Amino acid sequence: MPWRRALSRRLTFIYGWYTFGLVLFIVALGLAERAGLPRAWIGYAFLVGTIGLYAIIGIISRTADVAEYYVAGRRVPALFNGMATAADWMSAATFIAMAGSLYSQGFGGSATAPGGLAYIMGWTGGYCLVALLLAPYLRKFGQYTIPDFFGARYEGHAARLLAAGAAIMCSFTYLVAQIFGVGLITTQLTGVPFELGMFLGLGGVLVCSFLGGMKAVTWTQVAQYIILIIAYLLPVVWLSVKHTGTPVPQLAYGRVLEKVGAREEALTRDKSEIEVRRLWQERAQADRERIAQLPQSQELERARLQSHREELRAADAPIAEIQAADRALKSFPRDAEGARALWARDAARVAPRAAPPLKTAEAFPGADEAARSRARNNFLALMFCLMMGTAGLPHVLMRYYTTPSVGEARESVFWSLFFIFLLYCTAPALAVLVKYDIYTSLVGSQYAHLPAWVAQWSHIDGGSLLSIIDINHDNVVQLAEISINPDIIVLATPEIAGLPYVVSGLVAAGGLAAALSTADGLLLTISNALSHDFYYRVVHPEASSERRVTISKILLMVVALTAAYVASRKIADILDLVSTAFSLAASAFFPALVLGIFWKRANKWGACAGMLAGAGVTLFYMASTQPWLRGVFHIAGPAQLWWDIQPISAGVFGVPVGLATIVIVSLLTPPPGGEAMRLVEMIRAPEAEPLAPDTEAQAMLK
Amino acid sequence: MSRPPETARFADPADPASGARVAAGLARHWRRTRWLTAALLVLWLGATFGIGFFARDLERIHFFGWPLSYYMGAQGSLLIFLLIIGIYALEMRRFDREATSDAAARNDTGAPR
Repeated sequence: MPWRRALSRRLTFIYGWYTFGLVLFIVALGLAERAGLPRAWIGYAFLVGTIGLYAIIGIISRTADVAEYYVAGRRVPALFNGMATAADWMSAATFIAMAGSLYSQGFGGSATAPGGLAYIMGWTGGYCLVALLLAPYLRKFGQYTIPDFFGARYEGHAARLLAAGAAIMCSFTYLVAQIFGVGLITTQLTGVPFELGMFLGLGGVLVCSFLGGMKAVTWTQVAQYIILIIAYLLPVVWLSVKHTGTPVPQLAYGRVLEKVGAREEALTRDKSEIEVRRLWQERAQADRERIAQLPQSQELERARLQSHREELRAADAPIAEIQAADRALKSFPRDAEGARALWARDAARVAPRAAPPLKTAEAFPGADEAARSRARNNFLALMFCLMMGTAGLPHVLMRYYTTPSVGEARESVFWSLFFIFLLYCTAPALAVLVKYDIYTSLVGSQYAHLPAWVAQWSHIDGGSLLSIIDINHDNVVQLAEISINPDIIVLATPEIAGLPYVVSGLVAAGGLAAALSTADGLLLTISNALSHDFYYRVVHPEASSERRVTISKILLMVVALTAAYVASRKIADILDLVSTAFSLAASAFFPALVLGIFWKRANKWGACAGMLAGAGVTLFYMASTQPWLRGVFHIAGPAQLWWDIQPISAGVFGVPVGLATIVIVSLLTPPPGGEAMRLVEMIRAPEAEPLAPDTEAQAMLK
Repeated sequence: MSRPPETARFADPADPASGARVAAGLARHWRRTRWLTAALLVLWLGATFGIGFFARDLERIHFFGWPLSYYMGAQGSLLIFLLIIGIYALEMRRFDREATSDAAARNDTGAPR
C-alpha cells in the first residue's frame, strides 16, 4: 500500500535526522563541559532541551479530531508503534531500578524479596500473551478504549463501567509511581526541590497529551525511546570495552560473570571481610540488647552522650567536635519509644550487612531445601503476575488500536518486544559489569584514595544512597563496609565507568524520558476511560465529537494534578506501587479479556462477577499483607501469608479466582445474545479486504 | 446498529451454496489459529515457568561463561519470546491470506475445492 510505505519512509527520515541532532547536542554539551561549562548548566540544558522537545512535538501534533485524539488516526506503522509501545511500557522502574535489582538480588532474590531475573522474564514474557491472545483481536474489534471491548462483548454498561473503574484504578496507581520518579530524576538532574521537579516534568507531559492526545503521545514516545535507549546503552558499552575489550556487553559479560563468581567465593572466605561482618553482627546484637533493656538503656545512653559533651567542653576540644556531640545529643530521642524505633531501624539496616556476599548467578539460594523452594515459588509467582499484568494493563493494549491493520498489530507486538529486548538484555550486563568494577577497583582500595564518584554520591541525602564506613579501622575498603542503594546503580554507572558528566546528564534525561513516556500513556488511558466510557457512552451519548475531546482534555489536566498531589505525599515506594498496579491489572482484566475472545459462552454475569472476584481477592490479599496498605487501612497484628507468597505477587491468587468465577457464573446464567456471538466471530475471522484506494488517499491527506 | 454474520462478508449472495463453503473456510482458519496459538503457548510455558522451575538443575550446565539458567533468564528466554511472536505474525499472515483468497476464489468460480 503506497501511502503506508510513503509514511514509513517519511518517519524514518524525520527520526533519522532527529537522532543525528540528538547526537550533535550531546557532543556539543560534551565539548562545552571540557571548555568549563558548570555541571548544573548541563543538567538544565538536558531538562529544558528534552522537555521543550516533547512540548514542540505536542504543539505540532495538536488535534481535536476524535480518531486522531484517541487512536492516532489508526495509521501508525508497525515498527514505529513498536518503538512507541516500548517507551510507553518501559517506565522509571525499568530504567532506574531493574539493573539495581539484578545487582542486589542476583538471579531471583530471596523468599521474602523476590526479584532479579523475574522482572526481566516477566516483563518480556507477557508480550507473548499480548501477541497471541489479545492484540490482533482487539485491533480487529477496532474501537477506542479497552472498556469499549467489555461494553460490546459483555453487552452493556455494567461490564464497561467495571472495566473503566479497574483501568482507572491500576493506571492511577502506576501513574503516581511515574510522577514520583519524574520528581526524583529532575531533582537529581538539576538540584531543584522535589515538588518543583515533579511539576516541571509534568508540564512536559501535559503540553504533549493535552494538545494532541494519542497522536502527539505516539510521536513523542518514539522520540523518547531513542533518547532512553542511547542513554542506557552508552555507559554499558563503555564499561564493557574497559573490562572485556569488546563493545558488545550483551555477548561478553558471561566471562565477567564467571570472574564475579570467583571473586564472591574469595570475598566469602577473606579474613578481614569475615571480621567486618562480625563487627556488624555485634552492632546489631548491641541494638537488640539495648531495646531489651528499655527504658533504662535510653536514659543511660542519654547520660552518656551528655557526659561526653561535657568532657569535650572541659577539655577545650575543637569546636567541630563539640558541635557534633551537641547534634548527637539533640537528635537522640527523649523517650523510650523513640529510642526503640531508632535502635530497631539501626539493627534492621545493619543486620543484612553481616551476611556473606550474595552469589549473583546462583538460583534460589537458601539454608535448606524448604527455603530454596520458597524462593523458587515466589520467583515464579512474581513472574506470573508481571506477565499477566503486562497482558492486562490497558495503556499497553490501547496502543495496538493505532496500527493500520490486524497484520500490522501482530508485527507491531514483535517490534515492541524487539525494542524492549534491546534494553532488557543490557540490564543484566550492566549489573554484572558494575559489580565487577566495584569488586575489583573499590573493594581493597585505600580509604585515602576513594574514587571521586564515591565521595559525590555519599554526600547526597545524608549517605542514605551510598555509605562506606571503615568499621574495622584498617584503612582498606571491605565489601561488607559498602552500603549501596540499588536505585543509584544506573544513575551512577557513567561516573563508575569514568565518563564525563555529560553522560550522567544524558542518563538522567533517559530516565526522565522513560518516566514521562509511561506517564503520558497512563494519563491518556485514565482520561479516556472517564471521558469516553463514563461520560460519552453512559452519561451523555449525544455529545458532539468536539465536546468529547474537550472534556477529555479537561479531565486529563485534573487527573494529572491529582496524581501529582498524591505523589507529593510519598505514601509508598515506587516498587510497591508498580507491583500493586500489575497485580490489579492481571486479576481484573486478563481473565475477562481472554475468555471474552476464546470462549463464546462467557457472558456479562460471569465477566462482571469474575472481575469483581479477581480484583477483590487481589486487593484483599494486598491490604492484609502489604505494609503500606496495612497502614492505609489501619490493620494491626502479624500478616498472614498464603503459601508463603509475598504481597508483591498478590495477583497469583486473583487471576485463577477470576477465571474460575467467570466460567462458573457464566455456565449458571443464560448464554450471551446473538450480537455478542457475532462480535466474537468477527474478531476471530481473517482480515477483510484491504483499504480501498480512495480511503488511502484520504488518510494520507489528514 | 446490528452486526451482519461473518459469513455474509465473504459469501456470494447469488450462490446459495457459497454461505456454507465460506463458513467451512472460516472454521478451518479458526481451527488453525487455535492450534498455532496452543503450540506457541506451550513453548512460552517452557521458556518461562519451565526455566524458572528447573533453574537449579540448569545451573550446572555452562554456556560461554554463564550458568545456563542465568543465561536463559537474562537473554535466552527473551530470544525465544521474540521467535514465538515472529513465527505467529508470519504464520497468521499466511493463514489470513489463504482464508481470504479461498473465500474469494470460491466466490469467483463457485466451484468446491
